[in-house]
Amino acid sequence: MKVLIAEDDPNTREGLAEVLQREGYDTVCAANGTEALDVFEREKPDFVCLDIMMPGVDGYEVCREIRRRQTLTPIIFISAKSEEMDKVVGLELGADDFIMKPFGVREVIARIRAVTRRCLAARRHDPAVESFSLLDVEVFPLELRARRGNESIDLSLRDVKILQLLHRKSGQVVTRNEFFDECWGIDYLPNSRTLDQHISQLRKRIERDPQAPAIIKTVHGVGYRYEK
Amino acid sequence: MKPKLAVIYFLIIVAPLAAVTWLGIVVSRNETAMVRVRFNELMAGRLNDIAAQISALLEQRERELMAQWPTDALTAELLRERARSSGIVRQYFVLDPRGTLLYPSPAETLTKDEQDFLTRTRTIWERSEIPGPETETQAQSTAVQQDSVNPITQFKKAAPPPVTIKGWHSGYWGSGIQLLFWWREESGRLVGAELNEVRLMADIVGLLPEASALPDARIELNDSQDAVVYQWGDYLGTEGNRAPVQLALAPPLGSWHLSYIVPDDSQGAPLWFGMASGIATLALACAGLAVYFYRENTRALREAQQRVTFVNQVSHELKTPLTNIRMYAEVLQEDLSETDERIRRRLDVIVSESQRLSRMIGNVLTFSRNERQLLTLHPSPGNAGDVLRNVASQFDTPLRNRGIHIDLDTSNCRVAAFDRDAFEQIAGNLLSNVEKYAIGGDSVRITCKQENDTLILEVADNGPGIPAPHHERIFKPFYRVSDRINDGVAGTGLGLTIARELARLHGGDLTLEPSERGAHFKITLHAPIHLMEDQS
Repeated sequence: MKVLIAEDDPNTREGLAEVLQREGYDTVCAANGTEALDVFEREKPDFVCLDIMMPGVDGYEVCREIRRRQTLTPIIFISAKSEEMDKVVGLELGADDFIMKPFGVREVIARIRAVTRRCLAARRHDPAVESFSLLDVEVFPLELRARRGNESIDLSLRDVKILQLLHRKSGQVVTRNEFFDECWGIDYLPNSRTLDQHISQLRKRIERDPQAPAIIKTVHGVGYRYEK
Repeated sequence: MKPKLAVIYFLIIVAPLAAVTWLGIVVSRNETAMVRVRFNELMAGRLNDIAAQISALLEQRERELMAQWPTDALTAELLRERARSSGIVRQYFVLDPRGTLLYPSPAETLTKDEQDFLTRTRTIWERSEIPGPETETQAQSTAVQQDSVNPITQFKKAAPPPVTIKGWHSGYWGSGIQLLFWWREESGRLVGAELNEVRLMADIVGLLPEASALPDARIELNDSQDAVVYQWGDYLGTEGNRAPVQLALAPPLGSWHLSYIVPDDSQGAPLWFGMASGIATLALACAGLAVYFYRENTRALREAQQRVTFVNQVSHELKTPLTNIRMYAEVLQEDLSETDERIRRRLDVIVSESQRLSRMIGNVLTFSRNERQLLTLHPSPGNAGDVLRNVASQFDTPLRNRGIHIDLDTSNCRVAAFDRDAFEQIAGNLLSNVEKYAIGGDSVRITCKQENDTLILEVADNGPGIPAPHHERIFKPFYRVSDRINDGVAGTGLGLTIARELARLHGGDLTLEPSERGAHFKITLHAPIHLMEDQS
């Protein structure tokens, strides 16, 4: 899933890109409104994170132009402007959400997941998003959520991709490179530590006993494996 | 301008003006009356002087007639000659002691002038009007006053008893006055003369001023039929005249009078002008004062607005760098989750402090919006438990550092419609207060539950609590239980104000509940249960 981040502040832009990449999204960036429209046309992102105050063409104008092209691409405004009127204008222009600076990573992730669920809902007939089970854990890719009994577990897009890969290759060892290729994208520089940390965090959420994992098992020196 | 302010400014100008105008009218009326009295007195004096001059002229005539009367033997020829040569006499006459006309005698041959005289005076002799019944007393001069405001009556002083029995007879012949002066000689014979009317009028007019320093008035000498004999003064108008002072002349011109004529709107005008000028000056002064206060007020408001705008601008400008600090710190926190405890602790401080700064900026901007009546809510379906878990996780480290454990119970939360941002700000402000003020406590219990369409959040710590006198004041803006900067407790005093305002805006309230120990806050929000609840 590809996200366009249009933000004039380079630090915010890069930080957001990293947060979204960690979540499992591909990102493309633009430093101003004109560039954002070019990238949007070229890359066809699944949704857009848009700053309002940008040099030249502002975020409102970008949003208006995207809607004029009759695309239903979800748009999230991320801005320091927090007046009532700013929100109203943004939502009137057809934005799906409005995140005010300063925001926390968790807030951004929560809101982006909500938008992602709406994006995925449009693909409900796609086999790639069908629900599946890993032992006693039922995974719902469309909702970015898993369930064990009555417990609901929030998942990131990357979590879903990892679990889908493990489920698809059930009984087989999934190598680190396979994980990076399928779940991180081709632009990502492989880092074993990154993968291990991610699996560790995922185990804490889906395993009954993270210290003795039953779903994601480690194959030392190679990768990870899921066995029914 | 606010209506209240407009009313105040209106009163600043109108109230003093109304009072001064009313006083001015009262004073002006009194002053006008007094001016009229004095003015009329002055004019009556002037008319008296003129009347006295006319009386003096007639007395002089008396003396001249008596002095010119021939002392030698009277003959008709002599009297005709004297009448012809005298400028002041038209015709002499002589009566015997019984009142029989001796000259001009109808029995004798008469000149045309004498015949005309007899024609003019026939009724006088027939009715024996000379000598008259009052011949031995001086006639009176009566002032006739028609001014309703200040009637003035002038009485001519009684003359000393007459030495000689003499008198005047006045009447009219044709359109002119007919004046006959007579006196009784020692022999008992009554002699007299008819005055030359034209000469007399010329002499009277000669006494009167040719011009007068009367810019807005005139004086008239009127005969018995009110016809103007002579007038002077600059005012020549005839419409809306008033004659505040009239004075009858002394006999024999008793039917004549002097009138002082003014326009009806005069006398008071200068005073009204002065009063109007005063009121206008006062109005200008009041208006100037009001404008000054208004400008000072608007300047103060503008400066306050500029300060608010400045704070808003600064707060706004802080957002982007703060976003970056917070975002990168949180990302780094995840990266270093399994590294050195000391490094993780330092990072936790950066994250929690950036979150604290975010809350402070959020409070300043929310308060500013509320002050400008721009605070509104956007309820949307959500689970308050998720929000609380997020907020509690932000405070986990700072509270743990103070030895305070969070006991969070969100088991009774359901998906309901509420404003997530507002709820997060309320919860953040309450937990921030726990961090700052629950010193000595070791736990804070946070319970959240849904009761029908009401979301109830309770935050209770076991710290020192809030002293009773402060229970209601703590919700006022900028109020702090301790205002000393060096008491080690930070804060602006806005947190609870904003939390209560947001709760009330949400159709609920924020209250401080009674508790044996610590502070116990209860928040209720109107949050209807969402029909499409989470399927988990």
